[in-house]
Amino acid sequence: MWTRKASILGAGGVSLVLVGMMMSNFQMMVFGVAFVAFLAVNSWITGHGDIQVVRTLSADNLYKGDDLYVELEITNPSWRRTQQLEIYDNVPHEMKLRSGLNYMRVNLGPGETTRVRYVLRCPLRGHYSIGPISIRYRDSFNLFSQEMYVDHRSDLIVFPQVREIEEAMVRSRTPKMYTGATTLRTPGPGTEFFSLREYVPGDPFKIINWKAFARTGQLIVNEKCRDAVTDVFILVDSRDISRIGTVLKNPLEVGTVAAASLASYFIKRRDSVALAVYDERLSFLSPDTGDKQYFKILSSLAGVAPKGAMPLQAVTNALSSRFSRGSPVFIISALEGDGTTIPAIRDLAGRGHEVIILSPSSVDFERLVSRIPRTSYEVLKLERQNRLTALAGFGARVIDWMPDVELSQALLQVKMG
Amino acid sequence: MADDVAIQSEGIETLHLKVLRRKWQILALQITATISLFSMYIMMTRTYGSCDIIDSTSWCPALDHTLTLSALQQFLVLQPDPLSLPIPNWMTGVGNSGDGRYWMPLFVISILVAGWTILGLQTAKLRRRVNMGILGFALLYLAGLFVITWLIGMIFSFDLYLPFGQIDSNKNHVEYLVGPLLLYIQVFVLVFYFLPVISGLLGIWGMSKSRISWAIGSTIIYLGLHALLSYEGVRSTIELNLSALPVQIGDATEWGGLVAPEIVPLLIISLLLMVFLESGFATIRYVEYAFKLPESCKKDPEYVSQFDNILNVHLQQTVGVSFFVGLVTALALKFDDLIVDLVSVFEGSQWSEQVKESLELQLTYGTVISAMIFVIFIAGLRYIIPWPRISGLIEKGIRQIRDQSV
Repeated sequence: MWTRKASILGAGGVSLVLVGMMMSNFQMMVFGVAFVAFLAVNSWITGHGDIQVVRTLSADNLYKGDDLYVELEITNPSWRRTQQLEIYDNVPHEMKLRSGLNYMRVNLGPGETTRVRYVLRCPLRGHYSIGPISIRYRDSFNLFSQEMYVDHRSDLIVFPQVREIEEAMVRSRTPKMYTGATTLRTPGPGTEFFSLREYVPGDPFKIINWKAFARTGQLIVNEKCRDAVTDVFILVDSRDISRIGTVLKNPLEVGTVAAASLASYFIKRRDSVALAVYDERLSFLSPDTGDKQYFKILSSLAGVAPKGAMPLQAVTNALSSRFSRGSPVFIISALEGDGTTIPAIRDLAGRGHEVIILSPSSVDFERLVSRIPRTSYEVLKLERQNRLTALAGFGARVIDWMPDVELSQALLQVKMG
Repeated sequence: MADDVAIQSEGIETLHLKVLRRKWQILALQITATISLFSMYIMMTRTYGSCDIIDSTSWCPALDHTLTLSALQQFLVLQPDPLSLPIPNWMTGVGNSGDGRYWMPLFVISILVAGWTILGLQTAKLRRRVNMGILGFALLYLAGLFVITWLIGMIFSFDLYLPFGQIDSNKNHVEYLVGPLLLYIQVFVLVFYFLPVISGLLGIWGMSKSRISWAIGSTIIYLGLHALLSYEGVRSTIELNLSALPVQIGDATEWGGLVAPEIVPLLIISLLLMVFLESGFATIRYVEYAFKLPESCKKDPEYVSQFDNILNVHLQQTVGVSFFVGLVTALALKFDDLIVDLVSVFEGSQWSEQVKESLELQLTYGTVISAMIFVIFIAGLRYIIPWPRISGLIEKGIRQIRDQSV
């Protein structure tokens, strides 16, 4: 593509030739021919963008607020010089450059390689993709340029931050809520042998007891003891209303941090953790333990976005058959805009579940972005307090989580309460 | 994976502005631009700086400041109270002949621009002080003596009077303005004629794109004015004594019989104009890029090495492209001869005679159209001959030989 400069030069050259012909002025014609010749000669040395790019990331998964080291290795595999090549690595706008630059101007000779290194800070959780690489090549005199993409992308997940909450749970005056990992004499995911049973379709092949099969001729599977005290259910409210506040501080953001921290805490204790995220629909991760489950939970939390308005009762009704008997249920929700909250929690508590509600104070989050008149604020706070008190009346442990309070401190409230 | 990603390293060489100003490639570009600017101006004065009738009294709008200054001097000498121009002739070049008319003003301009560039590197406070000082001095020099003598005159004569038109000549203080005004007029004349050089030098060394554009613009305006004023239609109406370029192109006797002598200076001027433009703008473009890089990149050897690559290739291409543009233009203007020779193969036919006749007429459409056809053919050669691959192959070979020798 011709640049503006080339167009001006070309048009100027042709105009000079034409005016020179009209005026019988050969100096104009010579200038005009020279300008056009300059363009013609430069058209021989336009660059190219046939380059090989390899992007290396310091990590595929990282936690919110961590730094990501990126390296682009750019090689010119062709026999031609690239001429002036501008390389721009497209970075998600949520990420901030901390050091270096995702842009470089190069002029690579045949077979030459160079590296672009930069560091990104990831202040927001989510599923991201770095790339593609935008390329613009031009000749040295900036007459012809061409833009193109190298469709090379690197995916990464930014998990919500995981806070240390163990101390907060340990330093309580009351006995521990859950006693920690001991094997239960019930079948389930675990390591210790529990019993043998007949194979049923759907059982994984790896648990088939081949020796028993050889002996009896029947497919027999090994069952393991369940390696957990209990199943912990975490319900995260990701409805549209949970976006109230700033991008970095809103009920959903702090809620994901709380859910991740709780999951980490319980999985470390070898408990089984289930996660349910409800927005316009319900996403449910069955209870399980181990690193794989931890990764699944973090990945799921990384991808939550505020949308929809699913009522809590619809969630508890849908999950009622999956809740283990007497298992604790953590509900992380601002408890705004949902009239079914009280009946849902009443039902859960009635079925013998330990219900802990971690409720980021949406009124206070809203105050971070907009000015609320004092009277309105007082009224809203009072309404909220009444709601929380009503929920506590049904046996739920309620934590009113203020924006400036750390998670570990907020969780202490449930122990003290 | 994390171990594969190294952090940016730091080399000895950096891309800081202070270092860039002393970098040989940047200096080479700036010196190339400066030399091409000076050469272009001198070449322009040789081509457009003469009148038809040269004697001490004639003036013409040629690109020669000494003509205007001489005319002004003669006018002042003829006044009842003879005056002279304040800047001496040895400094303005008046009285010299040939290129000698321009060397001294060019030298003075270079010194002033160097001072201005050095001032540009100082702190904003010092720059402001010097600027205010120069402005204050200029104003004081212009009106200081006039105002002081006028006020003192009024105080001592206990009378309010105008500083001009008085019977008592001692009360005509306005005469004190004449000397400074003559100096400013002289400076204005010099600035007007040397505008491409002054603006160009300020652009190259002061890293200003707009000043380089001004230099190019003023050059084109001078050339356009000369073309207009030497146009036959204008010349027949107004007698300006301006020496016009010959209307017809003579025989090709220069550059090994490739170009006519009338074309050589024009071709060189156009080439120098392009070299000045490309070197001047490139310097600013590259320094701007390096300046905008974050601190960590300025120290990164990869960035430094690629920056060197860009500059080296630019310098190589400036030489190569200038040579080929000159050659292609010369060949293009000679292309009609080749066509005539080709057509003469079919001598005897009516068609060949017609073509030959039209092309043989110098400065007709034939020469230029054939030149343009040749240039288009050259541009199209890129689809036939893979120039970038050939040059890449040569480059790779040179690199291999160099590596082997090391």
